[in-house]
Amino acid sequence: MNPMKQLLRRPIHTLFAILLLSAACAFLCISSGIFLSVQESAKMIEDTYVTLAVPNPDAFEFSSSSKTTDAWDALLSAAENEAAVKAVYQHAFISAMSPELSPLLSVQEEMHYDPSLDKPSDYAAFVVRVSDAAQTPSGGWDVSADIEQIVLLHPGYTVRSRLRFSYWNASGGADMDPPETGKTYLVYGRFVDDDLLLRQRLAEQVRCPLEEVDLSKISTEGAAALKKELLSRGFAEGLGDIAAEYVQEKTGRTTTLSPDELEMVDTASLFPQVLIDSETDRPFITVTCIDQPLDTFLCREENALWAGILRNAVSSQHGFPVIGTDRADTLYAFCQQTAYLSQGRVFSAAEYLSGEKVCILSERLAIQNGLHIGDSISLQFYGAGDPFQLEPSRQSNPFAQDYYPELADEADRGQFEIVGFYRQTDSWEYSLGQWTPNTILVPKAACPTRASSPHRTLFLSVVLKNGMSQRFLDSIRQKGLPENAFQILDSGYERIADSLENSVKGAGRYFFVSIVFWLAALIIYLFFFVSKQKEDVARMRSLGASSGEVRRYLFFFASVPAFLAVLIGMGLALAGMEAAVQYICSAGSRLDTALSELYHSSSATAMIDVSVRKSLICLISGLQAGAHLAFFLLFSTCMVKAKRIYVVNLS
Amino acid sequence: MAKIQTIDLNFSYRAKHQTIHAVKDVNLLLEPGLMQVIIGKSGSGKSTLLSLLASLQTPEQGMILVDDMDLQKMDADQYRRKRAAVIFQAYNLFPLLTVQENIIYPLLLNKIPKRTAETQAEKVLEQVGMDASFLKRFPATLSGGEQQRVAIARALANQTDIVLADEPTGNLDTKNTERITGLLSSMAHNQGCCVVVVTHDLSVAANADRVFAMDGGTLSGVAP
Ligand SMILES: Nc1ncnc2c1ncn2[C@@H]1O[C@H](COP(=O)(O)OP(=O)(O)OP(=O)(O)O)[C@@H](O)[C@H]1O
Ligand SMILES: [Mg+2]
Repeated sequence: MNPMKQLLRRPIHTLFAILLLSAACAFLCISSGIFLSVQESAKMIEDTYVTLAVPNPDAFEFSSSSKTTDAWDALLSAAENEAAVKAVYQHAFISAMSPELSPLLSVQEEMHYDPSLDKPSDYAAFVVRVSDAAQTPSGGWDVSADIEQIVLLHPGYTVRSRLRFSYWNASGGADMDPPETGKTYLVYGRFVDDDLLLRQRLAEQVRCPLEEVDLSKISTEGAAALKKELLSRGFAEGLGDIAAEYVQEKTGRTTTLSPDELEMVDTASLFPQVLIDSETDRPFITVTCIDQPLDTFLCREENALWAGILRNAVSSQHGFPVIGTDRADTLYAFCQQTAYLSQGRVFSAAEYLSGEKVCILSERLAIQNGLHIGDSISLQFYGAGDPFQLEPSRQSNPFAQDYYPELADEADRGQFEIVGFYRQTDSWEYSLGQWTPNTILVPKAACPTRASSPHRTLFLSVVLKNGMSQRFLDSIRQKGLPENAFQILDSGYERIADSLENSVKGAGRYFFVSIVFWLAALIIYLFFFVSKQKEDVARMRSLGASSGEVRRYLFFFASVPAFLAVLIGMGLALAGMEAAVQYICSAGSRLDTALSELYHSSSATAMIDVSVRKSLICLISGLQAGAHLAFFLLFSTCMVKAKRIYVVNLS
Repeated sequence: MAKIQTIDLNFSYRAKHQTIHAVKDVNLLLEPGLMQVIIGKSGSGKSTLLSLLASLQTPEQGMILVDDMDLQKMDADQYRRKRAAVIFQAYNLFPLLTVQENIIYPLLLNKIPKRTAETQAEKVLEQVGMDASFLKRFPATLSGGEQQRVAIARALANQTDIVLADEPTGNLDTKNTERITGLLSSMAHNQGCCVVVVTHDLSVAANADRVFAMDGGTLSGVAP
């Protein structure tokens, strides 16, 4: 008896059976695809969503260092013994020098020039000719000079023709000689581009782009008259001295300049440093009169100190702030999404553990230096300690320390491979937890052990179990800490938590229904299609067919349409999966709004991976085919074994 | 040359609420070369006895000896395939197979080559009075008498030495009844088959070498 012949001679029955099974198969494939995707997404969401608790600087006393330590310890112990806490990370801070790497300056960023952010790349040295000097009430001197020679200046700065600086007698010894007009001086210190600050101020005031500010449009002529008029209109208070007026050509907007601001045109300031002469152990200020060419001056033995200063300054210019972390994605800026990984990857668990020499840079620093993922940079760690020591309330943009060879240990040098780039939405801002784009991230274990963990918001991440933030805050209150001691960042987890749970349930429901449907279809198939063969089976048996022959016949009779059905179902599922997911998840669908929410939350979309689903469909189809075969084998055996089956209808 | 003997043969149908004792203490000797007819009222157990002889059911008590061998100890499939051909009261043709395919089915079970089987099918069909044009038709398109004759042809084609026929002429006209009766008796007489025919038809009984009568499951008489 040929099962194929039997099937083809009743095509409508066969077709219907195939359609029933293929529908069940496709439904099962799709629903299991959705089920597993949703499960996977939920798991990934649990893993990727970081609920972060960070010390709230508003509620936290940073000013006195002993108080800070106590408060910090209280915070730490409160965070560590808490059931809602997953992990506590204290990030480390250290400076690193990289001679081949040129740091970014805020001056290169339109309208963001802030001299204090350019530390320590702002060290500069000039040879100048004094044009004017005035004594200050405290006995120091305010000096104006023309720049004769640039000894040291970060190439990011624009060179101005005039330099202003003040200095005083730092050694406290014999009276210092007053600056002499017309003489040349070597001055070293922190550089501030006054001209740019002025332009930035004017651009802001007249609301125009920086490059449209034209300082030649400053006019001093009408200043006296203007002041008179303003005074007559009652603007007496806080008006100060008006030395000039600036008119923006295009818009006609005007603003006034003080006498000091007028001085800033084409001028830079330098802030000399007070250093200690290691030979005499006496402080001195970095301004000196030189009466010979610079090279000759520096070669002379008594001026070795100056040669050293300039050498160290070059190194300082290549100093970078480094954050060592045990989990980069828990850093405040990443959790707040003001920083995010734009290329490459974060560190792996193994790298954190072993302190692998890998690093993550800002995209901008990489572009400026022509670096790519996989390149290496050399880092010489130096210094340690709180970068904000002198600014207790500062909570952002840690800067590298000044470089001195004594601060560095040759052993702390290494080649670091770049594994990722981060991008910031507001670099050079003073917002909480922010860092400058010069900041380099490395695994904490790759930093020297002396790297500090400053008591600052930026350096403590308490990672909470997702959905447990309220419980954490409650227990913080119970421990006697102020309620706002911690600020919670959940990156939107609370918002999707409910829909996440519901969608997992919803997908589970679909999956269950599809299994029931599949089983029902299989039973219908067996009892209303395959069982219909029992009369023919009786005929075969009565004519002498053995039970083996009958079983084989039944098995093939059941398997051929079922196999076709699985193939068709698989095809349907492959073709219809995306449409089904779209439909079930589309906002308009009344089927399940929770699934829709999950699908539309951007982070989940990427996780429901198409290729994974496709291979899943193939797997489920294969499993179904296998289950079918097992069922049919069992069924045909039972049918043959059923006693007296072949005497039905014989008489 | 098969001889069949039943010894105290008993069989009951067991349903939920009642037991029908369809065959009671039947002792019977069926001999080769004879056409033997079983007659009896409807429900007297004739078909049941035949299905026991065909090894389609197993006796409850007693035994069936085929050539002095216990039928229950023989391979039932082989017995039905090679020794005993059954012509069923309800024809039992495969509805989805053509006349030809129906007839050659038992031959193919016996591993007879398809071509030989097909020639054989044509021959037996002719013997029951149907021409080759019927070969490709399906049972549903045949009249009752034609279906019955195909069923007979299928039993004859296999050339077994036992032929068990249950009402083989129930749907046939006089001419065809004569033909079939002649065919069955020639198988007994010329080929030495042991032919057992259950019938209500007295004209068939008239051609029998021996007639058994059944009543209420027991053998009530033998003639001659
Ligand atoms: N499958 C069955 N289950 C239960 N009882 C049955 C079954 N087949 C037959 N019987 C009963 O067994 C008895 C004998 O039936 P059987 O078919 O042998 O009669 P029969 O002599 O062939 O009758 P007929 O001349 O009408 O064909 C009857 O009473 C019948 O109702
Ligand atoms: Mg009967």
